[in-house]
This record gives sequence, C-alpha cells and structure tokens, in this order.
Amino acid sequence: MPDEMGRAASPADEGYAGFEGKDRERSFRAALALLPHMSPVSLPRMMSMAGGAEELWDLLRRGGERATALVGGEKAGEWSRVCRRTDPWDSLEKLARRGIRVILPGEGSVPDVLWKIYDPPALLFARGREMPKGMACVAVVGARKATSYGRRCAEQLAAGLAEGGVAVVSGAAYGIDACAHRGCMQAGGFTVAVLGCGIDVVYPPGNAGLLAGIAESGCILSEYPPGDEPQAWKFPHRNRIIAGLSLAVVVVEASSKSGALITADFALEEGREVMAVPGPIGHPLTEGTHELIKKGAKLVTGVEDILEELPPEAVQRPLDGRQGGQKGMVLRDGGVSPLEKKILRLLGEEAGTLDRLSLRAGEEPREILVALTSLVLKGFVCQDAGGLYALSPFIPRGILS
Amino acid sequence: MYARLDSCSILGMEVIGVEVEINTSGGLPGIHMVGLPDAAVRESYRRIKAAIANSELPFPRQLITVNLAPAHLRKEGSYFDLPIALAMLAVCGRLESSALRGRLVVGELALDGKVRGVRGALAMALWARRRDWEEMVVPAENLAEACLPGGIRVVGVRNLREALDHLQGKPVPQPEVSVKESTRSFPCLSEVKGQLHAKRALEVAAAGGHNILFIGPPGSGKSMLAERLPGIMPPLLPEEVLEVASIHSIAGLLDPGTALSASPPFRAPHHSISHVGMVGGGRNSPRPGEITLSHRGVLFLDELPEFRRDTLEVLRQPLETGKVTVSRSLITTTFPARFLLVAGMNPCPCGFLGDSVRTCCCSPGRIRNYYRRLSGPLLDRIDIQVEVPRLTPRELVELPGGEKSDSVRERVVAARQRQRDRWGEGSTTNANVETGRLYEACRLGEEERRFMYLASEKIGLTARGFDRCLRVARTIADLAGREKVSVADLAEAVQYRSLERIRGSWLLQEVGYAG
Repeated sequence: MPDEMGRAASPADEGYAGFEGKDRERSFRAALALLPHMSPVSLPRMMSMAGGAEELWDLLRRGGERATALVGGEKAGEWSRVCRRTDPWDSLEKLARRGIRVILPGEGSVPDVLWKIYDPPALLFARGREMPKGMACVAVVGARKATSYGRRCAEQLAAGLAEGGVAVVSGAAYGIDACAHRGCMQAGGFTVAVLGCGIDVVYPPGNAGLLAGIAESGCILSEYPPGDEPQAWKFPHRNRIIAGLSLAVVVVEASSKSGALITADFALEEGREVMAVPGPIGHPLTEGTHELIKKGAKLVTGVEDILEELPPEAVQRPLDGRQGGQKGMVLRDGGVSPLEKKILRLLGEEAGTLDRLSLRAGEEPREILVALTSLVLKGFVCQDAGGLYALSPFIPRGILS
Repeated sequence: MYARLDSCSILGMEVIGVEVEINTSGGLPGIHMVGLPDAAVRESYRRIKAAIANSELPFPRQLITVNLAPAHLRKEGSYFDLPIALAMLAVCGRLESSALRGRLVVGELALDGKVRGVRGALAMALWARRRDWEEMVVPAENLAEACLPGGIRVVGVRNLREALDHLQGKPVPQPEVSVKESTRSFPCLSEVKGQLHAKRALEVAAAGGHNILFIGPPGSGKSMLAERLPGIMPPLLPEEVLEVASIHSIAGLLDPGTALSASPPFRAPHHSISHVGMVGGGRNSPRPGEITLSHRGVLFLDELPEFRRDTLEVLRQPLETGKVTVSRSLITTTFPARFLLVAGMNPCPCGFLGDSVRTCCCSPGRIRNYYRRLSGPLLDRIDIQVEVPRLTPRELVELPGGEKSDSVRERVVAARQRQRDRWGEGSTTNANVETGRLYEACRLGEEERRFMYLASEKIGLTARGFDRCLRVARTIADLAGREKVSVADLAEAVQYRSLERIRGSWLLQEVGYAG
C-alpha cells in the first residue's frame, strides 16, 4: 500500500516525526525484539554491528547483501518483508495497550547496576507496577522441590527484606522462588519476578495466582517478547538478569545441580554478594548451598546478615536491632507447655515422625498430636511431606531454655 | 390341561414372586414360552426335556404353553427349571394339582435330572418368610444357606425324582446341614509394627464411621492397615447380618455351609475396575457393584489416583446418601451402599517424596497432576487423611506391635454406643449425621472457637474442612467418653487433615488438588 510504504520509506521521513528521543529508540528496539525468531542473545550484537537500533531496523528493512551478511539469507528475507509492513511506533502502542512497558538500558525503572553487567539485555519487557526509584534489590533463589524448612526460610528472609525496604527478586518458579515472592508480598514489600518466557505467558501454570499477585503489587520482567514459550535454555540465561538486578544473591536450598547455582555464578562474575542458608548436612538439598559456603559465600542465619552487607543507603528502613522476620509470626501465646518443650528439644536433635517422637518422649501418640498441633499453630514446628515434623527456623531464642 | 406352581426370581436386589403356569392343548407337539424370558430361561426347555427323560418320567406330547407371570417383568436365570418340570409332570398326571400349592420351588436342572444350586437362596428365603410362605423347595446345595433366616420350612432336593417324591408326600432324605462357625477372622492390628499415628487414625475412623485416606510410600503398610480395619469395627447387628448376607447371596458370593458372619465385609477392587463394576449395573437386570458388596463394611481402594476418574466420581452420591440408584432402559434399582471408604495413595507418582532414604524423582508439575486426579468433592468426603511413613528395617525390628485388635474394638464399640444413644437408633454416626445436629451436640466454648479460628487461618482449613474436623473431634471425645469436645480433641482432629496441609504448604498453593 502506497501510504504505508511511504510512511516507512526511510527513518528520516515524516512518518517518524511524531516521536523523538527515548521513545523513538524504544519503539525501534521493541519492534526489533518482536521480529519473529529474533533471539535476545544476538540482538545486542547485531545492534552494535549496525551502529544502533534505528540503523539496524533500516538495514533489515532494506535487506540486501549487508543484511544477509549480518543475519543470514533466510532471516534477512523474512525480516525484510516484516519490517516493510511494520510501523515501529505501532508495535510500541500495541504493547502499551496490553499493559506491557518497554524498559531501555540506563532507565531508572530498574536498578542501574543491571546495565553494567557483561551482556545486558537490549531491552526489558515489564508488566505490573513501576519499581520505586532507587530501590535496591536482593535475589532470593533456590530449589523448586524445597523442604518446609527451606520454604519457611525463604518466606521469612523475604519478609525481613521487605521490611528493610529492599525489593526481592526471584524467578517465579515453584518452591523457594514462590515462597520468596509470597513472603515479600505478605510483608507489604515490592517483589520482582524475572521470567524465562514471554511476559504474558503463565509459567509454571500452578503459579498463575502468584504471578497475578506480583503483577498487582510488584513487577514482572522478561527480555523475551510477549508470547514466547518457556524453553529449558532460556532459564539459565535469564538468571544473569536476576543476578544483575541484585546487590546480593541469597541461595536457600539448592542441590548440586540447581539452577540457583548458575545465578550465584553470574553474581560472582559481576561482583555481587553471594550468600547461602545452611541446612542439615547430608541432605541433597543442602549440597549446593554448603558448597557455596565452603567457597566463601556468606552464611545467612537471619535477615540482618543480608542487610548488613548492603550499602547503608540501600536499606531504607533499618531494622534497629530487631530480629528479622519475627514480626510476621503470630505468637498468641508465647509460652509452651512442658510436653511441648520436650518435643521441641527432641526435634532440635533430629526431625522425626509422630511414631519416633512418641517413642522417644514416652507419651501416647494422641498427647503428642495435640502438642504438635499447638506447636504448629505457634509456628515453632513445621510439617514436611512423609509425615515428618521438624523444628522451624527462627524460633525465638530462649524458648528452649 | 393346566397346572400352576409358585416360584421366585431375582431382579436387581429385589426378589420377585413368579407364577409358573402351564397349559397343554392339541396341535403339533412343541413349546411356547411367554412372560419375557431371557436366553437362560428359554433354554430351560431343552434341559427340562432331557432331565425328565433321564429320570424316566413322562413328558407331555402336546403343544405346551409356559407362562411366567407377571408378564411385564423380565425373567432371568435358571430358577424356573425345576418348577416348570414339576408343573409338566402335573400336567401328565404324575402329581395332584393340590400338591403344587402352598410352596415355593426354585432350582436349575442338569440333563441327567440332578438339581443344581442357584444364587440368591438366602434372599429368597428371607422374602418367603416375610410373605408367610409355609415351605420352600430348594436345591440341596442351597439348603444350608436357605435355612439361615429360619421361620420357614425348607426342603432340599438333590434331583428331580426327589422333588417329585417330596411333592407326592413321600419322605425325602435331608442332607445333614452342618453350619460351620464362621471362620472369617481378620488379621490383628498388633501385627503392624510402629505406625502409631495411622493406627490411632484407624481407630477413630472405625469409631465414627469416617472415611480415611493413607498417604505413604510403597511398602509403608497402607494395605496391611486397611485389611485390619474390619477387625476393629463393631460386629454387625442381627438385622444387618441378614441384610449383608442376602446381598452376598444374590451376588453368589456366599460360602455354602457357613454360618452368618457378623464381621463387616471387606472388598478391595483393583484400580482397573469399571464404573459399572463399582456401583453396579448391567444391561437388563442390574447386579450389585463393589460399593454394595461392601455395604456395612469396608471398601478399600489402593492407589486411589490410579482409578479412572469416572469410577471415583460415581462414589460421591453413595458416600453421601448410603445408597445408589442405577437406572437402565428397562429397570431402575436402588442398591444399599453404606460403606466405610479406606483409600491408599503414594505421596507422589514415584512414591518416595519425603522418604528418609530414597529421593523422589518427580517434577513438581507431575506431582501436581497426581493430586489433581482426585477431585475436591471426593476428598471433601474423606474426613481423615494421614501420612504413613516407611519404617527402616531397624525400626521394623525394634518398634512394638502395640495393642491387639480386640482391645481396640472394645473402645470402638463403646464409642459407637455413645453415638447411638445420642443420635438415636439406626446407622447414624458422627460422620454422617446432619450438620445441624452435629453443631448442637458439640457446642464449642470460647477457647475452642478461638483455637479453630487460629487453625483455619494457619493451616488453611476450608469451611468444609472445619466441619469434617468437628466430626472427627466429636468421635475422639466419644472414644474418651467425654460429653464435651475439648481443645485437645480439636487439636488431634486437625492433625488428620494431611491433604489440606499438603495443599496449603507443600509447594504451597501450587499443588491445588481441585485444579
């Protein structure tokens, strides 16, 4: 169509006159990222070779030898056709209509530290609320199949970080990630989920509710264009963004092959703090975290261990000596009965099933059950799959003495 | 010539009286059989002809019309061989027509004239007693079974000749009815080592009639525990004994020569069962399914998520109402189905989630799908859910067996008695009493109410979960002989909501079993 062809005839044409500066750059980058089969990995490289987003768009639109040399014959042909019938400004508007923003490098809506990493993304798609300016981020990551201990740790640490005015970054996966997001949201904090798929794709499906919650009170980021399917290779790649956004990465429960260790590796390369939460030795889910600690990661037993490593200006509301994470706990009745105390001591030695506890305490199972319910409600004991009862992390000191 | 004789047949779970009429008339020798006979009944003509010939008795050489009244009901099975043969002999003049009156006759004939057993003799004898019949002639094989209800004269015959002799008033030697004491006994609870939690849950389930689900890895003893449940349940009441025996008689499951058993039935169908096999059915005459065969007893479904979804969903109505109505094009029957459901499942598809030794190799998505196979409405009807951990070999040796079934049953019987006193006669238990009456019977004090609010908040009890907890707590109080439900009872009841917890905390809300 002549009109459309005319509008997209050249970057210098009047069709582009309606927008200038940042928005102009933004629309070209968005249009480039939305090209079919465009990989976010190669986009920055192509842009630097062409000399900029607008130049790359122009080059691809015209096609020809230079485009073929840059992207290969097949893609050059396809993209040339797509570029000719696309108005970059339109693609930005379409995204905006779906509530998706495009964040460019150097923009304040994400921490500046992200753009200083080795291979920063060419742009980020964002959904949800705008991140408060100058807010620091800490990543809390870990195993998908976590124990109740790990989940509780993640929740409590995230809540503590939220109370310290720090945003919690994670990957919206099952297990530790989900708990970190949830703990932060429950404490009224700002949480950031970085996805390894399109920003509007609900993955994993079971976290639909969680993602909706994050979109409401926090924000969701992804470098993949909307609608992009989740694929295994995308997740390690997105971990560099999780590490890049954060001043520190806290690993809660990770097996020796966990993806959380990849995040920790990126964090080390970029000079971020790496911290890990310890657990029982010999358990598969502590192999990764203990290995990190052996290599020098900071051992975390409370949120203050994380906050004291951050620059003072990053922590907006210092915790004034209060033990982190404690505030969220409901402690109707601080006291424990003698039997409850006995059970807590036994669990302190070793987590156990009801049978083992009943045998070791020398009490009827039904008495133990009653005491356990009370301890669970007080938040001192948590239950795991397989009927296992374990001591919760963060029980107030002095309760056992 | 005309002759008539009374017999009966089984239709679904009902016994129906059938009048066998025979008329002979001139014409070419042959037979017309009317009154909706099915294939087995229509074939009876050939069996009867051979049996009469081989017993050296006369066969009418005329056109015979056999009518089975009432004519609108379908007749099934081989019950009518013997009555039709006797009526034919009457037509031939070997029997006075007065000899045919006042007795019920059932039996299948063999070609050599022997009388073979039929299913449902006990149910028929019960029916005959209710209808004030004086005498019943049954195959000798079914004699013991038909004698069980009592209150009616039962004569057993071995062959056609004996039947004829009896009807002619000659004495017929009666086989010795040796009723063995019921040998059905259940394995003892003390054989299960450890598993105190699960055993206690089993006791509560038996006492209150609560459905129960065991979640545990392979080899943790879920089936062993389930098999021991009937052994700690209260013995059946006399009327229940006959009710159960008559169901099993109709299904052809009654062991001939065994006394009535007061122990509750136990059925454990494999998970490949069809939904017709589960609730009952069949093309023309519905047969009882597993839930009816476990009426007043225990239905054990091992590997619950492996059952086909439609097979599990059909359990919902019977679990609520204690009966199931099966409708087919020709007939609608209601089967009784008040059973206690015991189910077993693994914590995840590979079975080792949370195991202390082996690690689970399932992805979170797979586990989620595993729990999703069970619908929320079905799980809502399972009051007690307990996790059964696998014991180490050392524990298997060291742990004590604990109480014997007999002493547990004493407590269960006492708790059931308390429920009967409270809810009135009948089979009302804490598990199935209406909610209104339940709330009246366990008024919660201020402290108890505060506890339950805290529990619902912390453990994520749903409204229905709250209701089920209250029922279980009521049973726990009954077991302890207390009139008031205390915080301790509620606290124990809360521990029997494993699934609620799994849904609430394992992978958090991600494992939504209701989808």
